[in-house]
Amino acid sequence: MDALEIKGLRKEYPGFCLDGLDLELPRGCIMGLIGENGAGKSTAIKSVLRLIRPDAGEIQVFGRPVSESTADDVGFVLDEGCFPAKMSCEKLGQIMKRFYRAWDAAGYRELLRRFGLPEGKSFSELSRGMRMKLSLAVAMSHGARLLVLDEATAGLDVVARDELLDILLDYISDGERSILISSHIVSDLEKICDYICFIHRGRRLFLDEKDVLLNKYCVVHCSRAELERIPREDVIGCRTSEYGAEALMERGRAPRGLITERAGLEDIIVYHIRGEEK
Amino acid sequence: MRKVIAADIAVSLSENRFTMGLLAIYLAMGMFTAFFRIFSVLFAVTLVMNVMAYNERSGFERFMAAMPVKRSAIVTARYVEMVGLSAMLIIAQYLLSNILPGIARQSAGEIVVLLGTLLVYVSVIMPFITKLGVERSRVVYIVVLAACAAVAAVVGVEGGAPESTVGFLGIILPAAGLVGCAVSVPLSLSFYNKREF
Repeated sequence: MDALEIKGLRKEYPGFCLDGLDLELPRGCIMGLIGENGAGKSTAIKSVLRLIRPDAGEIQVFGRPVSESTADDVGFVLDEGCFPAKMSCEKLGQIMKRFYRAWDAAGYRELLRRFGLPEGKSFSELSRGMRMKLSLAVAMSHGARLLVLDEATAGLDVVARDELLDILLDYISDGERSILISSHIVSDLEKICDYICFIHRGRRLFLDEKDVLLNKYCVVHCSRAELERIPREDVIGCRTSEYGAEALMERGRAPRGLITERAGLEDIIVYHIRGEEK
Repeated sequence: MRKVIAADIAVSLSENRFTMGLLAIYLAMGMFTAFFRIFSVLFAVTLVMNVMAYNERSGFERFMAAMPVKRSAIVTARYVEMVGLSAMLIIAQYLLSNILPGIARQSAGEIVVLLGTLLVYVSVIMPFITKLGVERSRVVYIVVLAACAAVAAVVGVEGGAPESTVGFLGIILPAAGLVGCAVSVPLSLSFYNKREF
């Protein structure tokens, strides 16, 4: 049983359509949901969190359709601060205790201590990074087996992002918990994710294990004339300039004699987008 | 529903102190003038609306929608808060006016008119709030509050309103309020269930 299963998720807005998204997140894994701004990442996540109603499709959390009863199993962090401004961290914990069956008050206080968040401090007095940590403390204090983070690293400095990623790695170390994290900061996801799902303009372009992806592709450096000689169907995406050309290809299809280098996740995504737009 | 009410009370205590202070002033003035006795009860609904507004602005309303709570429980809790808080104030004022010396006594007719006005008020504004949110339905709320304040002015006129007026309003308003709530509650539930955050 997967932690999260999405089948045929469809949601239409004026000018945009998330069209038939399929996604499976195995237990004990971290999946990064990547895409440019407006790709449909937040739409997918909001559907999982019941914040919007899909036009079509099924979403299951640990084998059960999403509802208020599965919400106990799901901890979430949204991209914006979402607690009353003058409410203290301690008071927030008292409120959360009423909503979540398995609220762990001692665990929550321990997380506040670990994250350096004074219990008496109000939400408005916290910095952006501290607000994110508070949201994470709440999400991690009710026995959630699935953590969903929507652009949780956006707006954080390098150190804060690194801290957050360490916290997430620690969270899944028991092998039973899973994380779905959306971001357009590819480098963050490359550090921690087991799976990468790339969404572009409402469609899933690929979903694969990160290591498989990184070994599957390479970036070929060549002249423009050499690029012309490569079969079009082998070139996933390319960039040309007056100095030469670069193309993303599968390793096995790269022509001999040309300079190739390992493709990072950012390369894979950028060249896929270029290929789509051509 | 209880968890939503508890959360709203907590938010009110941390964010709503100015409005609570205003309400206390209106209630105190209501000991001496019938208009404020009636207006303060209607104003109590504003407390609940302010909590909803804070929740919308802060994002806590969206957060709550993703927690283990049914949307119907959120809507029902808000009706209970609005009607319950105001009804408690109505009863408290009635008891105080009949116990304490020096305070103009409230008649049972006044109470019935007030309860009816309250039900009409809540039944009109809640569908707008659940559909559009508190901020975007402020115009509606202000217009309806003004209309209810006009009723309060009629009933609370110094020396007492004519019995016939109170009697008429005492039939029309509760009936309208009950019918209004019977329509309003399912409508609000439907709007809020479809609302997207």
